[in-house]
Amino acid sequence: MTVLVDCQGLSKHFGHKAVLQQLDLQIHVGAPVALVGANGAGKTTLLSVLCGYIQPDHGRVEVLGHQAGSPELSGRLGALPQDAQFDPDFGLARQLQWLARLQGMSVAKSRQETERVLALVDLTAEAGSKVAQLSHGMRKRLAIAQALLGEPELVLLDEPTAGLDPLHAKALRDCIQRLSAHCTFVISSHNLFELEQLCGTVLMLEQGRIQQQVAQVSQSGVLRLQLCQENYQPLLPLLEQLPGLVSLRKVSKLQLELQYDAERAVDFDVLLLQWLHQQGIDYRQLSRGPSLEQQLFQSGARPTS
Amino acid sequence: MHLPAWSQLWLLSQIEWQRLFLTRRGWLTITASFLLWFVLLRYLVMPLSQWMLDPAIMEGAEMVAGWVDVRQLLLWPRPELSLFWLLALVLSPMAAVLFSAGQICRDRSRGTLRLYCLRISRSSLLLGRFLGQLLVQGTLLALTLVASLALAFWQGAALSLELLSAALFCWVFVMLCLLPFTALMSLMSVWLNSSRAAVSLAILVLSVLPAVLGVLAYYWPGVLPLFGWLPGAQIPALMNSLPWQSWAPLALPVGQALLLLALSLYSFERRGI
Repeated sequence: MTVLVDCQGLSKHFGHKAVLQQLDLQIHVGAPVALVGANGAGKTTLLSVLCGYIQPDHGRVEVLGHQAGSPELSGRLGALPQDAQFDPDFGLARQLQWLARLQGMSVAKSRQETERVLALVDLTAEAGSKVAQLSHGMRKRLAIAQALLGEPELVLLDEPTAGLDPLHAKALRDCIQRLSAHCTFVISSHNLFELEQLCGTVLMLEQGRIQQQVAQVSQSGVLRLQLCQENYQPLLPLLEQLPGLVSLRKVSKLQLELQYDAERAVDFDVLLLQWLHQQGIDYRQLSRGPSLEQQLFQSGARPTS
Repeated sequence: MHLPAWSQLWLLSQIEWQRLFLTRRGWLTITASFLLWFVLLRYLVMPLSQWMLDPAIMEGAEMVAGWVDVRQLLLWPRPELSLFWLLALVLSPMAAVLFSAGQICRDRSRGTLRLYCLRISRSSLLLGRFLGQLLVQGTLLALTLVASLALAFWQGAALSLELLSAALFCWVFVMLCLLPFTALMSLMSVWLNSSRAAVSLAILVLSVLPAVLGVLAYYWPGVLPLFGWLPGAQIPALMNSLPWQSWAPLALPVGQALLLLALSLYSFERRGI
């Protein structure tokens, strides 16, 4: 499988504070990769090193087979840097065209690409406006648009939906899902729900190291059931008698986790849905496997180091 | 699909040039320059040039204020142009320090630099911005030069090749004198995070360096030749010469600019953005 990012023994200090410590990381072509971690865990620093914005103190970084920050990556690597703003005095389309031209596109192609990426982030109507006239969310979408110029092979997004309204956050998730067939996204975010929906692999950074690597595969034998009302309590003894059920755990007031024997009760989920229907219990969501939050913050995650 | 380095530099310098005409900040710069030069041309150059046109002045011509040789100024095809030469040599370096202070730092503090550095090398970005600043200053200087020529024609000058070539030499020499100042601001802009801080440090450097050298020269006279290496050191000599006489004094600003640009590139490559 093609390696897009290869980091070996990466370290970065800011003053006496070690932000990245002997970090080893490989990212391959494929489904989007999530980067999670507490504030100050080193997510933005790692992305900045990958983009070549800052130099690591020690270690080796290769992005798409080139040294990070190499001009050879122009057009192949896209990024949404944290808090990067466009020049407020110029129009959106004009600045995107400049960036596209610097990437090596012809004048006609740069216009075409600008129109394409503005449409992707729903900013076509504002193409002629000055950046100063845009709202915070619109500026964020514009910054995302530049990351998609020229259909790069690898796109690094730092907090892409922070500050976006729910409608545009969803539109962006849909867009990432659509584009991930052709390019690999690395997404740093605190929104686990979003990452759960988008990403195949989740990397958890802690104290400058990758502490956990979670592969998002649908895990048979575990179901999560989100109910609408609390009136299900008296029916729990009945639920426990469902054929194939191994254990039942109440995760929260409205959420249950059911473990079942996946070999003997292959159609356990169908049985469960039928049972819910018969008992007249309304449910909001039924999903397979533990949630990303559970995988990351409870036992069961696979440590990589 | 890569843009050749020269095309990147040209595009970046065009962006800076467009900033002059397409943004409010650019128009403020043009308006400020226009007003300053209007006042200078109307209330200084116009009366002085009329006085210098008097043939009797040749007899009493001498040094003014100890450092301007009026006899040299009278050798220009028109006094308006000689006075423009004097004023441009004094004012343009100051304008270069003020107008080119934000070459890098403004975009770095906003994060815009990160968007550019994904696509081009830092050296292309820095050199493109530097060339863009020269293009902007060259445009402003050309506009003021045209205004001075217009004043000369209005005061009776005839259109001649001698006059036009003198104007061209004037523009080229002043631009070459601006090189080290623009390169100095490039360095300040790499080192510091705001235009204001860059201007302050540049003023400090340009005023403290001669003072330090003065103190050193008091104790060790051997350091005196170092005065000749300071940015703008050649300007007093140029004031009392005709630009088409010798290119030799211009080796110094070109050399200084190359040195400062090399230092800027070295610093920029190593700084986080």
